[in-house]
Amino acid sequence: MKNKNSHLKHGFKIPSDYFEEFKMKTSLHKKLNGFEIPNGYIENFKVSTPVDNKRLTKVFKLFNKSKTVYPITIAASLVLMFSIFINQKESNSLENYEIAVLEDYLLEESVYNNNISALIDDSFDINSIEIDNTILNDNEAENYLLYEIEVEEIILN
Amino acid sequence: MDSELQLIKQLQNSNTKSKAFNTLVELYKERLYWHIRHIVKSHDDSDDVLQNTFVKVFRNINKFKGDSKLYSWMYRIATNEALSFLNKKNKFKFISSEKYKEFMLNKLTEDIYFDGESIHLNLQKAILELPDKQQLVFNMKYFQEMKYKEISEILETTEGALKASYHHAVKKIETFMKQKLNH
Repeated sequence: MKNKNSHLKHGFKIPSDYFEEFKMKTSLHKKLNGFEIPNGYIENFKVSTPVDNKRLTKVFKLFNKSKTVYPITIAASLVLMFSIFINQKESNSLENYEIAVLEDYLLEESVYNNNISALIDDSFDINSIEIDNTILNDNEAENYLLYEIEVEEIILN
Repeated sequence: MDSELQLIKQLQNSNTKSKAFNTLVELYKERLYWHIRHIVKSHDDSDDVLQNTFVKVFRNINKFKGDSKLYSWMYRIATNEALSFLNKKNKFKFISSEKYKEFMLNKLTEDIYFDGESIHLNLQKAILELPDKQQLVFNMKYFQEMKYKEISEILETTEGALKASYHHAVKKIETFMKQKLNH
């Protein structure tokens, strides 16, 4: 291995600690590369360590799982049961309305032919209307016309 | 190695933990700071991440089984903390990677602790163009002058893969810098 001081034999000299300082300077130069740090940051850097868990005062949970889960489950089931019960009663099916109520509505709330015709324009395909014949069969229609409606009045109007 | 083992024992003993932790901070604060700084770029963010890193080390030191060296373990924590810090910021701002690079560069130029010389800024621009893994490898090899063996322990990657990553990173940075010089 080449002697470290072999260069000195030729009369060359170097300042003491030259290589140590040179190493420091180069590593510092490479390390920084434009980045700077506040004066004394590294020297004064301290970590605010978390307090050891053992020394912490016992923390009581505001919500105890066993005490809260069961009442919430029971309450949720009751709400679910009631909502199903209420929804069944409030079903908006046509069958649930009295015929007389519908009749009153049609008469009293003034659904005139004009209003209906306003909804129908040229683009409306009359054949696309699907009539559910099961609601009103021939006999029922005949009975209705005979006993419930004063045909003369309709004709006069 | 013996002194490291001794330090680990002291860190894992509740009676000596606090004193040993101060020694640990003194030993690694500067190296970890620069490692983090090159990832997150700004001084203030680096300070936050460094604090979080040491707090995590303090909390988890009892889980350290000695499978790797202590510094590799700490560097891994620092790397994860720095990357998750950046990811959180990225998600918070809902921005694309391109916009994010721009955001990082703005952060760098606005940082009073960056001297803003064009050569340094261009080098940082070039680094930001690299994929995440290459950025990490380049920072660790070039700025921190770490050995491939050390980087391999920290990033849990083979030395061969690291050498390839560094080689690609250097080539890309050279091309980028040449383009900038020609303009």
